[in-house]
Amino acid sequence: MSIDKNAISIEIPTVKDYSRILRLTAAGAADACGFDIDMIEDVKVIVSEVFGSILGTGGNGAVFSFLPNTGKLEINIRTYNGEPVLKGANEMTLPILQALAGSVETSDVGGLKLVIEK
Amino acid sequence: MTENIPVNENSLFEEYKQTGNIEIRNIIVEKYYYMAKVLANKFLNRGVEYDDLLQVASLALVKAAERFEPSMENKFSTFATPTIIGEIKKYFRDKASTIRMPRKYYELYPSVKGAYETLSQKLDKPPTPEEIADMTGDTPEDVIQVLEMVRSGNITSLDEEFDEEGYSRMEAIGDEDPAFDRLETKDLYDRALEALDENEKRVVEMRYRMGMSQKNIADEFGVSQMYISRLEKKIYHKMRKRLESN
Repeated sequence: MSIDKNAISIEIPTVKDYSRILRLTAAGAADACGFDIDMIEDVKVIVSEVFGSILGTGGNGAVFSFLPNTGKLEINIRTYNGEPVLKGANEMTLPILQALAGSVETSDVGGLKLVIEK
Repeated sequence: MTENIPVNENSLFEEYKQTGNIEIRNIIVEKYYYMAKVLANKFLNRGVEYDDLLQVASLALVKAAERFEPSMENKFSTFATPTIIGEIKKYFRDKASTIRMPRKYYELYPSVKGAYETLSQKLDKPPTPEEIADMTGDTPEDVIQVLEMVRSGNITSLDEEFDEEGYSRMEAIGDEDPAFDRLETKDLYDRALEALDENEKRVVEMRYRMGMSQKNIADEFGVSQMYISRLEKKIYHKMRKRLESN
């Protein structure tokens, strides 16, 4: 997964309490896209869902990369150990992501790309 | 009738489609009620109480159970999740416009600011968001959001200087004169209070004399914040009507 030079990346160990740091970073990136409060909250729910899934795999961490554009936020995620990001997902994780993000794509190397648009 | 109800998930839906038996639908809803709870939880901290969210999510679950086509390849959870999320988001758009997040943070601002000042003096250093959150009963995340909104200018601080001479908004507002307040308004206040029942008087006391937030009052009474919000409007109209009639 190539990371755009304008992306904001955060390497996050699988520590449950760090979810808050991830949510705040995501909120900042969403704010930079000009999203309203509801969409910013949706982005926070999205990253929490994904992080919850990564916690479920028992891996040691992941890289979240946020690429803000006007009215559009792209989030790329990959795990440190190369395990599929949604490996530890429950039956509701993917439907939640699909309901809140405009586009949800998994890559063949286990990464996940989400695009949220105004 | 219950003894004839099928136990398999798909046969439950098929049986319900064929018969429209509400008892079967209720079994389906009960089986998937956990989804309503999980999804209501996802939308907390947006200014709407959990109970209200759960109610919206539960009604959406019933709708989803009624509309689900068992012949489709999707699992029910895949079908119901976007339906429930859609209804919750619709609720935020349609019904909760007056209690959106900004208002929540506006309401939190005075208590966060108060805690910040108290703790700064007590600890002799700027407090952490966790310390402020411990004092106000909010989450550290909310405290950070409030502080961030102040910094970004979405909330205007009363301490902010607004002219070249360095006067703050607080100074421009000036202090209330307690003696004046006692003489001029107590009589009106007492007369207006006569229009209220005991619970309503208690809410006025908690809200305006004790400075409690709607959420704290709601917790005290064991009701939702929306209920207190509606009750406040009702109280306001009753008090105004009483004063006008006098």
